Amino acid sequence: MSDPGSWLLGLGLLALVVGLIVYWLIALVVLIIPTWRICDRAGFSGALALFHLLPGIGSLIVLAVLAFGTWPNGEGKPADRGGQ
Amino acid sequence: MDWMGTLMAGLVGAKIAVAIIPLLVLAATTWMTWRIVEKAGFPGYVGLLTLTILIPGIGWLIWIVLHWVLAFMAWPRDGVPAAATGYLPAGSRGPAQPLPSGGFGMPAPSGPALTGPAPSAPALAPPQPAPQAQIGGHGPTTAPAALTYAPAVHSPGWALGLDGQPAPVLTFGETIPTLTVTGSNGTGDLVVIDPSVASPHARFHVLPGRLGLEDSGSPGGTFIDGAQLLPIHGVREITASRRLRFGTVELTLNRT
Repeated sequence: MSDPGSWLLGLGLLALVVGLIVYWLIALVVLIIPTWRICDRAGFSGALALFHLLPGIGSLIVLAVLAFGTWPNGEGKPADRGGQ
Repeated sequence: MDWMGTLMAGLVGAKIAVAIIPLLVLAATTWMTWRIVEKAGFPGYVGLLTLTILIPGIGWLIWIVLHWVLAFMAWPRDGVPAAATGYLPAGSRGPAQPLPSGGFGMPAPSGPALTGPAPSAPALAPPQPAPQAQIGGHGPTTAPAALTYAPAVHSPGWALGLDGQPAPVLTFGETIPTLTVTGSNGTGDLVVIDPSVASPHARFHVLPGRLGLEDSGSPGGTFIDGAQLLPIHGVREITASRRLRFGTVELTLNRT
């Protein structure tokens, strides 16, 4: 018979993996789909939205590219952008 | 007991970092969202809606809903689809039709109505001057050199002008559905002799009291009040716009 502690450790690891998969699925639905469309409309590859799968820093990377990159499909009028 | 003091200082520093880092991330996120919504054509302060994530309990849900709304709603940057505005579809010059008011940039002819295969290069009865306006001279100049044709003013209609020149470069009435802007190698209604202007470069779409513009995929680009117009945007409303740029040539747009 195995040590009950090992069983608990195994269950904990399984829960962690399942939790990560669930996190990725939720991220896929609620973040990646709209971000994919935003990137697409901006002119970037929609695959940029996959950075959301990177926990923590991934969403910031997508935001930074959209915020500071020049949109290939054109941007709004400068007058709308704080009178630039 | 120096190590105790160091440990305590480290713990306090860690606690401050734990409190500050989320605030910094939130501030950076809000700033970047501000810029993104501006680029989509909305006022930048709409990006402050990012702060709804601070609402306890449902804040994150509101934030996600707003994310979806931004992704799938119409953006001011995209303008209004031509089909919804009544303009001819992008790329279309419209059917051949009479030019009852004598075309653009010209006094009304006294002769019979003129017809042509397309209004982009209308034939006008002699001894009328050439029907097209031309900007610039020959050679690889990047700035339009001179006005070579001073047209008559149509009213109601539109006038295109150059900075520093009181007379418009081109005026046109509201009877012609489209006008083509072209470079020196093409034929069109407004010939801009400048290496940055393609042939064809862009096309105006005219409706009563309204004006639209589409880009023809020109390498030099077409800009409306500083914002680039791309072929995928189709026909964009420019009735309220005042500055147009074809390549490096900037023109003013006014109502006559």
